[in-house]
Amino acid sequence: MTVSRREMLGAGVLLGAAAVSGRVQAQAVPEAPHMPHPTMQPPLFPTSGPDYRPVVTLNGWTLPWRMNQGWKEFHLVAEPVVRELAPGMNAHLWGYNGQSPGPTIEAVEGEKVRIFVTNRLPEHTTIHWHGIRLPNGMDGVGGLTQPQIKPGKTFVYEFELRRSGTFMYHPHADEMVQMAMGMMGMFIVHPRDPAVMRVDRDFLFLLASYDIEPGNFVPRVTEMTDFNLWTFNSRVFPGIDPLVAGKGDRVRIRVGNLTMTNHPIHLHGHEFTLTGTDGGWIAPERRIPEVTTDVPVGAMRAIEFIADEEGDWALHCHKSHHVMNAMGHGLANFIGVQKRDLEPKIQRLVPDYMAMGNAGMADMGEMEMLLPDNTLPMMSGQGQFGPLEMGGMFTVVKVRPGVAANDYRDPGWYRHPPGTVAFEWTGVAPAAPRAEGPAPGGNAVEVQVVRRSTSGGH
Amino acid sequence: MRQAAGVVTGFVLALLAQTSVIADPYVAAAQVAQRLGVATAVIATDADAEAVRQRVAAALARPLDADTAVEIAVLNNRALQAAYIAGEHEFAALETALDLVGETRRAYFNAVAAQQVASYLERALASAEATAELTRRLAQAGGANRLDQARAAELYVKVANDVRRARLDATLAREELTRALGLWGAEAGYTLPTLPPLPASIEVAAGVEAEAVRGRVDLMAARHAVAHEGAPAAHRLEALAIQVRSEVRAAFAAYQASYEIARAYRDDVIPLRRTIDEEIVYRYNGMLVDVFTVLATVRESVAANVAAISALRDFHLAEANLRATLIGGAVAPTAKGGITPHVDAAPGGH
Repeated sequence: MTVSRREMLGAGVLLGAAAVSGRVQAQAVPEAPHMPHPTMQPPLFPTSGPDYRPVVTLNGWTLPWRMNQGWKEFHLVAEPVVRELAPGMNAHLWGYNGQSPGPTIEAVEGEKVRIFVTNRLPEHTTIHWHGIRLPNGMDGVGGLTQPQIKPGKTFVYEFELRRSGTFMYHPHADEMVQMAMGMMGMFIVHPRDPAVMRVDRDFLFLLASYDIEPGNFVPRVTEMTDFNLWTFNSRVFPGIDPLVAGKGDRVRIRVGNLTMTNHPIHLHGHEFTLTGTDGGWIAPERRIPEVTTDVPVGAMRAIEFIADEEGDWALHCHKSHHVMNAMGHGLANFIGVQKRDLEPKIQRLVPDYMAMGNAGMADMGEMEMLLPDNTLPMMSGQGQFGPLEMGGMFTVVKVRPGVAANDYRDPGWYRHPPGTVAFEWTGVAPAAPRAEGPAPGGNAVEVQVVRRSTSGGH
Repeated sequence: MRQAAGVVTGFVLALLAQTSVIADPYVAAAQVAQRLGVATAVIATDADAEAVRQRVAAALARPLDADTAVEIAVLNNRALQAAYIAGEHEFAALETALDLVGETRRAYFNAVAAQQVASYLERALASAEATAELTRRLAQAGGANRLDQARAAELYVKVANDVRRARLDATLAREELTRALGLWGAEAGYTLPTLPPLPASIEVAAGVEAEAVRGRVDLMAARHAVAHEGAPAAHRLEALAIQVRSEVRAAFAAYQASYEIARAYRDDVIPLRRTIDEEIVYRYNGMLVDVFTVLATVRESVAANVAAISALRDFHLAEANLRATLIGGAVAPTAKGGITPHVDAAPGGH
């Protein structure tokens, strides 16, 4: 991480005109580390600069840095990347340093950071440091606060971190396209005193949405509402890492929302409190207990809880469509329609046809069928008790006793103590009270409508 | 001059060619047999008729191909028999025979294609029927409304009418062929195969005009007239020769273009349709589309296959026309259009 004398004196690389403060003692651009895979990297403990407890980025990593005469130097490379959304599907996105989202930047309140940004995209870009107090000319709004970074150019951003908290970075140049293409990352500023807001495990992920037509690889960047892939850190279930915690650990989860809708993030089995918003930490006496917290568009939230209930606890967006992968939205509802007898007739026309949806859509979670190229089933994943029938913004918080402090490895499925799993009743069922209402299938109005319309039919 | 079976073939031509008794039906028949390269007959007695009947019966034992259809027509068509006997002028019987050959070939390809189209449209009908039935059941479960049902039922009726129209077209086309073949009764129940495939390559244009000017029977007749009638006939000959050259160029252009069109259907459209059908099933598997889309895609595929059958038929018709422009006989304009089945968007809750 430290820079050698030779590197510091290395022949002058011309830096961009946006280098406005501190006036670059950095004669050489620091190395830009590259991440070739979407595997969660262990927390990056600081070996230079002030101390802090590092975060863990789901299916991601923290960007290494170097110290240079009191400045913490990072190098982001904006470039096209191939991001595996889950095994079986690759998205051709734009990101930073080999992945989308880009690596997490971690630094400490009061530190001076110098961030080199190299543009390897085919069009210009900038980086906006979302939520961070900084000189106006470092805010990264193309045209407003700086000229855009042309392809092939490197710009430098320099600012001092004036407050701790959860921040994001993303382009503010052709912003709609570049964010739809996956350009974003998280920026964590740790408190100067490592004892402040200390937790045992500090997880984070960004919410991003994509519209990738089945069989395609690139997102449709002009989509505004009808996205078909809802991601945590550009991953969908079953491709999202579990959040592993030791029983009794104090756990923080930081979430940033760069989609175009809100996401009610729900945790099973525990109450948590909202401890941080975009504007900073919330004083303990003002925190409200919750089990779901809504993360608005363009906002960041930090929640904390004591992981005191062992088990595999779902953590997901509570919009049910956001825990699905690509699916049709205009499908007829065949629940209650018997069509098995028509199957041979249709199979004579379409030999590979199989009747589905007569009872619901759970068929999908159970069957393995040929899909378009590069397309994930709308629901999939296998749990210890059967198909998980999920996709999108869904993962599992795994609480186990005796997990070592820095062990984030997946412990497998929870071993439930005997007698603690819901079970089938085999005795005589007690009488179930029923609500007053129309008898099932007895909707007289509907039946009349059917009778009238079929009378003149085929 | 007559063979025992009453059938005149090219073998007896050497003898016949030396006689120039125009009114002799055997000479006319021999002339036809030579020019057309197929056997014909003069039916003068019951025994002749029986011999022809047996030959026709033998030819009809198998599914009928185009050349066999021509052979049957030339043997069995009584209008041609009349031309042999009437013998108005030296080329009269030959011109009648050439008309008959062209008419038979055209009727043959039209009949075969129409039958294929009608049978292919049954798939569209099955698809529309399944759509209507699924919509009806969906409505019973509360998942479709009167509008959906009316659309599905209307689609079914429209496709059923397409099938009725296609069946009628097949019947009418077949009757045209039956008339050219001179058949009735049990023999009219012959079996038609499917259209012959496209040949691997087609004729080249070079020399076709010269070939037509040499070989066209109407030009021969016109040259013959010059000898008897002088200058007006010479002008008519010149005009006809110019017309023939143009007809050949047009027929060749139609032949070449219809080949390319039919080949594009065979090599591109039909394989692409298979890909489309497959991809739609994958999307159905992924619950990205529902069964109504799958069924609508079946109807689209039917439309593409019907168009491919029509394109192949058009090629064979164009080839028959090209033959006629080279040797003689009435030429029909290349058939256009064809059945366009209904491929309306899937009803059912969209």
